[in-house]
Amino acid sequence: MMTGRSTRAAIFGSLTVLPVAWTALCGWCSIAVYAAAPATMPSGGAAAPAGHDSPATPYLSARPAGEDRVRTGQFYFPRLQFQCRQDIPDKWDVHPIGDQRLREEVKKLTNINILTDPVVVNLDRPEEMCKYPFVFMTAEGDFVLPEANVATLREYLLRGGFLAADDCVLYGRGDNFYKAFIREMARVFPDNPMRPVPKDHEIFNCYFKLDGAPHMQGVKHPAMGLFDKETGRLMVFLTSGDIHCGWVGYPQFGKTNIQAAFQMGVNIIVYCLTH
Amino acid sequence: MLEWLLKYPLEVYRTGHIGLRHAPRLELVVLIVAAVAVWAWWSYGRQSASRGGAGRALLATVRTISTLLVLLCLAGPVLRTRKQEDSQTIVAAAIDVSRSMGLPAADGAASRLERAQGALHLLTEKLTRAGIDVRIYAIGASARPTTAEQLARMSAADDSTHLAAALREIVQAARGAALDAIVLLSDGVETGSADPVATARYAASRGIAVHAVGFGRAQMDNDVEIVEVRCPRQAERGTAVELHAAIRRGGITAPLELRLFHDALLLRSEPVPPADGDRPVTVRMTFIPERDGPADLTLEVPPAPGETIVENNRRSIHIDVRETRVEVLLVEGSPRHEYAFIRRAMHDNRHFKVVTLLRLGKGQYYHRGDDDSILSEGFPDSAEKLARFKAVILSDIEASFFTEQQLALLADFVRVRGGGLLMLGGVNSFNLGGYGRTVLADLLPVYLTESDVAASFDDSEYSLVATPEGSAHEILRLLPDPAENAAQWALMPPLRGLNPLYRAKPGAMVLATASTPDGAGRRPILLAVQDVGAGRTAAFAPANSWRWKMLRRHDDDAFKRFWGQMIRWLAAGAREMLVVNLDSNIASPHNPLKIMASVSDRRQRPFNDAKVSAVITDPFGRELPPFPIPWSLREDGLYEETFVPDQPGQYGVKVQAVTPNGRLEAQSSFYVAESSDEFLRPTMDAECLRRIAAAGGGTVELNGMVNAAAEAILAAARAKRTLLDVIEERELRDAPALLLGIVALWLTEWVVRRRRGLA
Repeated sequence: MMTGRSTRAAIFGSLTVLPVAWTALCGWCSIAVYAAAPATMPSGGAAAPAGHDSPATPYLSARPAGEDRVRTGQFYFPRLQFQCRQDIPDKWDVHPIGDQRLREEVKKLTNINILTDPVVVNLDRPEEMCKYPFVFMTAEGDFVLPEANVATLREYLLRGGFLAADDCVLYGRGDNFYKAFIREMARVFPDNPMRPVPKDHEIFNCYFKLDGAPHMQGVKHPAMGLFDKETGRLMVFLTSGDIHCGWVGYPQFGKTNIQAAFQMGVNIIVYCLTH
Repeated sequence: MLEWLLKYPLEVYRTGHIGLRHAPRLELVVLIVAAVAVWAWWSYGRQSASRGGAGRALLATVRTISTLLVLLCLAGPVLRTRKQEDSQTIVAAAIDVSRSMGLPAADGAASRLERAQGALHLLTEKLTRAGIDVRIYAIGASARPTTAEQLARMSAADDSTHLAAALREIVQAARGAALDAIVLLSDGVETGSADPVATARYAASRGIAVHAVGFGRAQMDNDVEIVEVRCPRQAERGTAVELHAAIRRGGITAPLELRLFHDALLLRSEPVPPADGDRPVTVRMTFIPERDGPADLTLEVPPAPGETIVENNRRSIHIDVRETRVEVLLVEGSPRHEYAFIRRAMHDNRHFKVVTLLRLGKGQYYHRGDDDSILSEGFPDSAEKLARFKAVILSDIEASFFTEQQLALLADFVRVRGGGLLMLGGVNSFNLGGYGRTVLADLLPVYLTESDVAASFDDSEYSLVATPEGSAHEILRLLPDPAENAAQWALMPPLRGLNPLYRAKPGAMVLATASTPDGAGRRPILLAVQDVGAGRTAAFAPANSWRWKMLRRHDDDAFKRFWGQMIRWLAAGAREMLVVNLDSNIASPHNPLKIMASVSDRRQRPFNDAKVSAVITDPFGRELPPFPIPWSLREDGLYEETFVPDQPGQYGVKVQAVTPNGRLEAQSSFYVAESSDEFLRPTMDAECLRRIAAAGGGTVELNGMVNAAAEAILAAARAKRTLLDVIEERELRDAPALLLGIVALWLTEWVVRRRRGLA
């Protein structure tokens, strides 16, 4: 007998098909046209930030897809399954098409051998979760992690895992997830609170030059990070601007914003794989 | 009067016989006599006054005889007698006066030196009675001529026994003199590095027999002994240093403990395991040096109750502790977790500086740690740039990424510079990366030929199985005991994805294989290493070792240790442009210590035209005057000089080399202490004495007796005397009788001629 949670996980993969069809019907063109020049990789990765309004360059179109790139390793973009409140409409599995689109963009834009298979990891299965050093987490509303999950998440991050989180923004204007996330991370690392991530941080320019985290909708909060106390490595990255919905490609966000959302997504992955 | 006329006593003429030194053949003698007679007869036949048969015959005869006597003188008349030459036999008695000779002799009643002095007295008496000259040498680090009286006052005080050096000095001192034999009175404990057997062989080749007389017990009971200590001379601060001490329990079964002290502070103690018979047992001990600079440590086994010799329970160790950062170049084909985790593991380690060159896309690189921007245009294109690193890791990057020149540079980097090269698994590594036909294929420890590798990347899951060699190898060492270490590796989380490699090269060592065999039952090699030229290479087939980090508790350091040990092993052979070596880092007062400096240029070619000098800092911190270190003809780029410390304590050595590339500096240190080497083997080294005697063609007696040696020397002396029986030739040409005879004949001839009116 399947529980509600496992049912969600089972249908997660199949949900990816419908939004693809939807966006195709909407005539939404390929996000490849939202091209931006990748940042030149300077020594130490310290590049001057560039605004996400930078004019489109023919970088993507000029670049053949595949032959000139050597893809190595295997990178998954898993979605983290966690306990959400039942009264919110969009829970942990919201808009998987956003993940799918980001995976495709990463494959086009970078040398990263990102696998397009959807993967779900669960805080209740820590050993399985630890096979994926990167996880993505989003939802619309408040949530409270059970104690066991708190310990699991702490252990995961200390082992070297990276958690990217984004507020899916309830009704386009809330910040419930954002606040809940910061609160819950304070439980995970009581001695190490989340801090705003400065705009000159590498995560904003390690591949694309961005002027901070892009904002699609919702309350505009600074991007927050949880830094390793010893090494300074960013272990958790939280945005409030619903960049995930930007990946889905809702036209009302505007092309420039959607482009910045993808660039932010690429930067998060590149940062995770280089630090 | 008669003796004066004949030049020699009649007795000599009776025992000898007369002959010619240049004796012609009989036919020639007859011919000469006839010719002289005819000439004399003919010469008087021309003169009318001499005509007349009797007178002519008389004159011709006298002339013939006188002429023949002159010719006889020219032929060298000699008186030959047999002579037995007085052949002097010389014997050198070399008596060991090192500290080990102060230990009890076999019977325990007296010291070995006292027994040896008694034996020497007997030997001297026997040989001197036979007319043999016995010269006495006291030997320790060298050989010193001495007398029996001086020897009687000597004590066993020399800090070392260099039998080889001492024997050679005795042989060389006897150059020109007829040294016939050396009698070595010793316990056979050699503390030098030279081989006394070879020296004995050398003496024998010069006709000098070497006899050995042994003192001491063949087996020592109730005595614990630290037989050997193995530890590195240099260590990194904060990094575990491993010591191995071989301990002989000497029949003591009570619990023993090995203790490690640093400046009287107890650092570690380990129990000494039970022994199997008299075989030494090994105790392993690790400690982490916390301070930079020289560390003087002491290993000690507290004396057991009633132990005979306590001096050999203690060993001094000197380690140079430094904090250096090994620069490692990590070249990564694309962003992947393996890169991030390895870099993180090494970044956290203060001993490494990881410079990364990560390809993000075509012509796009991400580099970190590259302070001098030498990677701004990609992989280094010159040996000078590459020489900055001690190890290079190629992580999932294809061969075509490099130019032919860059691959050749990498090959030289390993072979000549002594750098380390590691290739990690990935879809662009090994044969899949096209390395099979490059120069790097020759360097890697595995074959990349088609029959020895799989054609595709294997994405299955497997565990690492440490081989017996790998279980004990420093790269895979998680636990000190090899069996426990192998078990620990078996508990490590499974990995996923590897390049199937199946055949290691003959000189390589396979440290680990995959747990899952392929279809043909072959287990892929996961980790293989080998030495190549001056450097080292390793092949690590897994592509996702980060699982060892993510699938273990966060405080488990196995992943970090593995990579730290891997890099340290790889970089171990990398040479600096100036390297200082000492022949030992523990020296004894007044014993020379050799300082060796190896200088090379930026391409790691030996450099012979450097101006090399050294400054020694003595135990009081004073800098002694600098002295030059001359180039040694022994080896290109090698400069050697000796230094003789005069007092115990800590010495520092600072070496400078001035080359066209600039001034290079390197440091080292050593510790001077009264050596306890003499007590390392308190038993008599009978085997050494046997071999010395065998090589020297002499006798060996291990009971402190000199009978065999004395008999052999006396027999040799007799044989030598027989050999020297000679025929002596005494000149007769200046014998007065011969001269007077000739003169008398000439006068006779003159008188007869005058009477006949011919003169």
